[in-house]
Amino acid sequence: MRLKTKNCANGIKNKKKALMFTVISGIVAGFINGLLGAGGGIIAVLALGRLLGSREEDKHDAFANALLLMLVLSAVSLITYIKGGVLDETGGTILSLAIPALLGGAVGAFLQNRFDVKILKLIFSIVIIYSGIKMII
Amino acid sequence: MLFYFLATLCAVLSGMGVGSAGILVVLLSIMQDTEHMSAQGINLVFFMVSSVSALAINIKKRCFYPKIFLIMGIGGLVGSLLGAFLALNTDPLLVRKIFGGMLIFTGLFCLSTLVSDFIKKHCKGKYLKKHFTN
Repeated sequence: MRLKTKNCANGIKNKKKALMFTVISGIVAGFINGLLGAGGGIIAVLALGRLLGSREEDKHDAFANALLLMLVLSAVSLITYIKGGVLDETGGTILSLAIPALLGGAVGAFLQNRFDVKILKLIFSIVIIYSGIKMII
Repeated sequence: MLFYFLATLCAVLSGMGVGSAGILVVLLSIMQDTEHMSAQGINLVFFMVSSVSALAINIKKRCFYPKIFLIMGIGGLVGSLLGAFLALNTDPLLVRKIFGGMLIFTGLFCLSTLVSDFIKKHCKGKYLKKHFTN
């Protein structure tokens, strides 16, 4: 792991604007993740992509940084959910999903950058639009 | 068995950076009859476990920016607490509908980026060739 500092964001020249942009995008990503239990990651990836730059390397760094950020924010939301009693009877389901999560996450990270994901993204988009309609109806 | 296979696929997509957008919430609701709020909570745990595993693979190759992380994290902390508090105090049916809206928005956004990438790569080049060569 390499730690780097970027004082001024690539996409935003003004320092104050960059700071405001960073704070607000953090609030929005955290809010969506807390409210819906998902979806904050896309905001974080987009914001970090804008802040870090548009090279292919920067995009991958943005994804890794967003993953780390959402890990922390998910933990905060999760603590609130646990205190609210939402997860009282879900221990069995959570345990049974541990292996799929660990295995899938590692396989996904290994496969990243190894092939073109355009077709996968297209299928993913159609599936989630369909799922969204099903959740609303 | 199909449920666990699809859950693994969600984690693979998440680890690849395609995103999972909470498909597990939909799977839990439809295939396991889990209450919506519990499904959201389970999805948070699922995402955390899969991202730890993805980060373990990524961490050596990537650069991390502690300053940006800290600033965005402070904003995110406030947002997370607000969002989770609101979720717990809102009608779960309404949260489910907002969740559905978020899925449709994310799907349309992904489609639009795919289309704009396609146009940039194929059409723009042809247009420039047609009008600015010779």
